Amino acid sequence: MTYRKDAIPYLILLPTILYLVAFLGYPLIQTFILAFTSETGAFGNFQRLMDSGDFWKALKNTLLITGIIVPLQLILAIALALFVNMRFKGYSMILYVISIPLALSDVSAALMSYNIFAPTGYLNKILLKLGLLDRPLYFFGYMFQNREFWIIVLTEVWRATPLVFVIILAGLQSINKEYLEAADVFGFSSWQKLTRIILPLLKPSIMSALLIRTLFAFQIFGVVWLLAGRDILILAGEAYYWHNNVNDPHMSSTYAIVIAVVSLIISWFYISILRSRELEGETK
Amino acid sequence: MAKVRIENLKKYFGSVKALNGIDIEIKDGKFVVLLGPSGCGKTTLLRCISGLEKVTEGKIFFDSTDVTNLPPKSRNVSMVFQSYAVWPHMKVYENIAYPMKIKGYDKNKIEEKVLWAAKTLNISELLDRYPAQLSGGQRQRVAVARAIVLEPEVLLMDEPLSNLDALLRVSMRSELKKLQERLGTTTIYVTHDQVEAMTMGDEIAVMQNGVIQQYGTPEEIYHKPANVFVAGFIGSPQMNFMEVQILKEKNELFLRNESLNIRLTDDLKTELGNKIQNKNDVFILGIRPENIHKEKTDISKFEPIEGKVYFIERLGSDTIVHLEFKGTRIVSKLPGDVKINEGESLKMYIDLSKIHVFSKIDGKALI
Amino acid sequence: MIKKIFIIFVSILIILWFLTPVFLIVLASLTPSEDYYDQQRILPKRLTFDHLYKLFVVLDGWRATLNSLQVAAMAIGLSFLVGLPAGYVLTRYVFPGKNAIRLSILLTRSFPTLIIAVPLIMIYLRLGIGDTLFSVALAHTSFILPFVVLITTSILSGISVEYEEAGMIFGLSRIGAFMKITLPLALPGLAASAIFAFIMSWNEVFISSVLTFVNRTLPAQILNTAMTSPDYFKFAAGTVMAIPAMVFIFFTRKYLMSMWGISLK
Ligand SMILES: Nc1ncnc2c1ncn2[C@@H]1O[C@H](COP(=O)(O)OP(=O)(O)O)[C@@H](O)[C@H]1O
Ligand SMILES: [Mg+2]
Repeated sequence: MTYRKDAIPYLILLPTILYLVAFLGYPLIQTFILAFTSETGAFGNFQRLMDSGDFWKALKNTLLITGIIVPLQLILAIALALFVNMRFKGYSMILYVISIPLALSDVSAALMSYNIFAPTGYLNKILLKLGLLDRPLYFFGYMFQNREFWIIVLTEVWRATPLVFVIILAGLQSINKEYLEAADVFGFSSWQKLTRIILPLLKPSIMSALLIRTLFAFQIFGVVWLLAGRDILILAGEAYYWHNNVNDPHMSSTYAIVIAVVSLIISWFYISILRSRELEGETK
Repeated sequence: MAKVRIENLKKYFGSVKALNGIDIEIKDGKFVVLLGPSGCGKTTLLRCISGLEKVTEGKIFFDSTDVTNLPPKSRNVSMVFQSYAVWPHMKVYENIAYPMKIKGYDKNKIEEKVLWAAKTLNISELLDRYPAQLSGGQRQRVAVARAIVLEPEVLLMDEPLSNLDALLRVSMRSELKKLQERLGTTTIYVTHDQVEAMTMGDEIAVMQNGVIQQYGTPEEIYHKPANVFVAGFIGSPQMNFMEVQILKEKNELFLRNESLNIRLTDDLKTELGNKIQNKNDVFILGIRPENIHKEKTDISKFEPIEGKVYFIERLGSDTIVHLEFKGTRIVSKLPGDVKINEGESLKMYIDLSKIHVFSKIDGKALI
Repeated sequence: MIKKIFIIFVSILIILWFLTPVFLIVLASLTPSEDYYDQQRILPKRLTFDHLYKLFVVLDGWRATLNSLQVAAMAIGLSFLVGLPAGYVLTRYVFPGKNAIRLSILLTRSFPTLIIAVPLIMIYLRLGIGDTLFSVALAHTSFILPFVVLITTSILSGISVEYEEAGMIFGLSRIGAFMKITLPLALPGLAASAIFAFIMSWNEVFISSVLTFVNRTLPAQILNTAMTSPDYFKFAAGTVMAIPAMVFIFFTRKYLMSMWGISLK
């Protein structure tokens, strides 16, 4: 490593910093300005938001989706990671298969899901063929919001579990094997090894996976928009709707700010849990 | 080939003073070892000489050229890195040839020199391999071949043997030394291994805390350590240190503490006599373990000590005896075949012609 | 033995769960429309490229695809141009404020990009580049650039500085040593990260939909026309979007763990 007091490193970093300030920082400020300007004062947009039933529905749905998919993904991902980490012959092929959804956009994941659950989709075809149904089952449409909701959950679990999986697996692989060997020496059962050693050591990975997934789940857009449109209201969908369909950048920005603020609160929440756990560990 | 002169060199990393005023003059063609404990600034000094590190203050000269502000490529130095840094994406041949290629030598000349360097290091059969296909020892030879191919003015090596296994290390020691003698290149060699330093160096610079504590031949460093640090760092087991007072009685000088009362020999008396100002000062007496014997001889004066054998390390060729002697422990190195048992009481003799006395205040050697 | 059966069983489940939707969408995109709408027919009698052809040629899908490629290329080019030197500096230099800078770059990764989309439109209109591919590329760069900085930091710190320093000792300048020694060694990793960056841009839909009306990228085009086109076009489009991404992932699977580890941190 070279130590230099001179300006070279700063000069080289300058374009990156300037770029991020110009294309993230500045628009961010603009978003705030848009959200806080309305004909009825600084908080007019927020007032409008609070007064609209749509906002509360969108908030409720977004929270609900997040609250359901994140724990599901975590459990599945841990199970998958434990499985792959057995390192059996051909495990790298399984690893690749699991990581395929990582490369897929929410749009294509939604289309894949639609392909299965559409009225003429494969699920209906198979069920009809087997004679289990005499009419196709409908999953989409305003009247079937409930079913739509669960399809969205399923799709998100399918699409985004691999993200969690990768983080957990990386954490698993960094666990020193000697801890487990020591556990073997002391006669731990597999279950004890999992609950007493692996999971506690995985805690940092689990927390960061949770944080990332919660943040992303909170911004969920493509899957819902394609599969349910505005049948199921969500925050990012409303931001999009207000901008593209109503042409009201103020309301759109207001939704954006809400997403950002809630994201911040969620991050803060996770990080403070992480902190307090660490402190606990220290005092023990 | 060049003389290397360094004047008041300082290198700070923020608040860390890695080098704190280095002055040294290395004669043309010498093999000089920088020796010191980990973190004392050896690598930093080497990197300043190479130009990889910019100095904070001071000057570096190769012969009479001031190279202080020249980039590495303009200095005509070469270097063997601790990790060898043999480029993994080039075959051995290309690795050795690359320095010449950069400098624009023609193909035939390059081939001639590469073959020469490879032959010198006994790696002619490996030229077609990638570094990943080589053992650590072979990779190291490639690194050395690459370093000598251009016949640099100054050859720098940073702990080149530290990643080799013990046997290989010993054989490479002599091989590198012979190579350097043959090439006559001024060589600066960093190590923290005193045996390596003593066996390889024409001269040794012992460093601590970013300062050269002593610069001299291996004999000087061993027999005339300039201060407590050098005395303690060189030699294994470590020199015995005891605090003593120097007392003058009836024209004689005595080194005295609760357990010892040594009358100095006449030679030492005159040498030491001039250097003591305040007779209440505390001094440090240093005795190397190998200068404490089981029998005395007539060639020199001895001081007897008697105590209980606390612990014995039998190393085969030597026996290290830890003697409990009036509340302190004294370590002595005896031949491998002595018959002593732990717990028994033993009388031994300190060779008074080989003792060292240091000032307690600044650690400097008085005799 | 039991363990072996268990592993095979679970492996089959995993493969079915993850691959069936992919297989089915490819199948659907190749199924003739009469077979698709025939409730009694699961596997088509024959395969056809009609939908893909129509999607590309008749419905201008090729333009959207081309747009996507252009946006990705611009965003990757710009990100590496700016981000690679930044990553180099963050690994090879020590300087005050380094950690703060790295941390802020890291933080931008958890930033919901959709919240900047709306003001970006106005900024772009003011700059006279509204509804252009370039404007989408600029927006994509704002989240690809931090990724590139972080990933190159990690790749370069995996390449011993001593290789580069050896280059400098043996006659190269600092830049020369980077170009001739470090860059070739970093190339596979950098190529893999370029592919990841490509996928990020290729898949991004919100910003592209908001920023453009005429010059839409493929996902934006699909998002905005999918509702109104026949199902099999949707599936053709889904296939077109999925295949390149999957192929790319295949070629970079060696780097999968580290890439996603970094892109998600
Ligand atoms: N790039 C650097 N940044 C900050 N401190 C450094 C750097 N390089 C070395 N140091 C510090 O300088 C001192 C000397 O280091 P070094 O020359 O590597 O010692 P040695 O090679 O003798 O073990 C150490 O305290 C080390 O921590
Ligand atoms: Mg060192």
